Amino acid sequence: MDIDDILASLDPHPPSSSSPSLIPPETRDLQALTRHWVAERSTPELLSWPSDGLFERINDKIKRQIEKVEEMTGDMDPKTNFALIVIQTELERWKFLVRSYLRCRVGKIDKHLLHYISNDALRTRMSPIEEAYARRHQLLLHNHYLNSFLGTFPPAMQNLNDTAGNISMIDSPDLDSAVFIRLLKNAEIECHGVDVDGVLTGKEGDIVILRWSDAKGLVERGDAELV
Amino acid sequence: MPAIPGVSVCQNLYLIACRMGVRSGNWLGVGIWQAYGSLLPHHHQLSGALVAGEDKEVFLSIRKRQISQLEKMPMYGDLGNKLVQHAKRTQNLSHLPPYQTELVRAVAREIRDLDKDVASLLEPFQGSFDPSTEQATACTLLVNHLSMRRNKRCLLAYHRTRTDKLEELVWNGADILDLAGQTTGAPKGGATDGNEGSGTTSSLSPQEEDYFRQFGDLLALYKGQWTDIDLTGSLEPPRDLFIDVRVLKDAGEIQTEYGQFYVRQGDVERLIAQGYLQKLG
Repeated sequence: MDIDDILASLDPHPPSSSSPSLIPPETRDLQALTRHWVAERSTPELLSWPSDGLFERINDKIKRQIEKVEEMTGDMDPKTNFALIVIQTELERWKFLVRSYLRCRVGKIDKHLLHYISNDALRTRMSPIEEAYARRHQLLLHNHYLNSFLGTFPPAMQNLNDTAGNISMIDSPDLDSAVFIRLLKNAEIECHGVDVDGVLTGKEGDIVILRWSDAKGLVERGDAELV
Repeated sequence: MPAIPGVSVCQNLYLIACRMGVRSGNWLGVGIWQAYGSLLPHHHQLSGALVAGEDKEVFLSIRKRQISQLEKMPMYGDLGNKLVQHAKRTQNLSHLPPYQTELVRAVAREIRDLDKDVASLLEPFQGSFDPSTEQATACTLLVNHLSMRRNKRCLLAYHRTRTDKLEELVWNGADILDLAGQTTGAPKGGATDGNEGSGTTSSLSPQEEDYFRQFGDLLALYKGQWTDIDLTGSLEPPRDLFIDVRVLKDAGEIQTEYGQFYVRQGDVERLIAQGYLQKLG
């Protein structure tokens, strides 16, 4: 392996990035992962789990790299040793991105368990593994409440999803908290303020801060991305 | 008293107001004023103003007469408030303060008592209760109902705060034995309710210990789906592949690929988290 190859594979902006067809699939996956990671970390609610097999590919890649590292560790030739360090560093970075992304999602799910479990549309945003985790976690919590105090209540009060007095017991994320977005194309932005609502004409490349509830549509249509 | 329309309702309301802490702008207090409006629509136009006209006079006079004795009485919701205060305090502590067994029991008891009150209040009506003719009773029922819900929410909030803390500990790789050991340092936390000396050795309730174990299992299961990633690893972006460490505690023999103290970060994160090693530089 040549050092130029290694450097080229590490360069986040390869010269060919202007024409998407020339970007190697690994780089595209890395970009997708980074984008998912940034978006997930900056929004108040859980975003959809990428269903295009991104994480299956990433997992395979990480597995292959780990095997490669193990293979290369065997021979102590100083030349391969340097390549090994580069590959391991890169591997650690991939692992960090995936870990941080998954932890961020689990954090959001844990915070509003019932909210995500009890709504069909929201449930599909979780991966099957996450959904199983969330269900089990809610079950554990409910059992814990039952054993600690709920079990001694009158039966009518043992639920965790009361909506008496127009106050739902199910906590949900604050969709009105602020996010930063970058516009990917010119767009009209409708924003809801505290006193006045307004419409803003945004140009491509503009960075705007606004409520997530207003930004959501733009991001979902692909007119903007989170930064 | 019967000469003034709505006086019993008003009196009831005042009791509620005091009990629920309407003086401090509590949300349930607001709910009660709305209920008040809906109970007395034919006496006064209440839209907008909270209390108006002679009801206001009645309200004030009752307030004057009863305020001193009421403030001394133990009131519904007080215990719940205490629980919430405990929960709030727990949020800012690094350790988990002792579980308030007595307080939890007392709040749960209050709910059961209120439920019995409701049942006995409704008994004479044999299921034919009409809130518009029995305003006073309707109001009492409403108060009891709201007090029960409020206590329930206080209990939930208290327990959820503690389970959140426990989950955080599980994520950080804490052991149940570590938790049992930390109680010795806890009792200097200022205003406590004298529950520390009740013979419990752990700051966790037995139920919480179960929960801690079960959540540990759940997390292990979830982590098992992502074996290559190590989900409990560092959430700091990695800078160096290798780090220098100082050994703080004997940890037995540890095999690393690259010699003794210059180690790969991913390999020793566990040991750093458990306090065997300290990261240098």
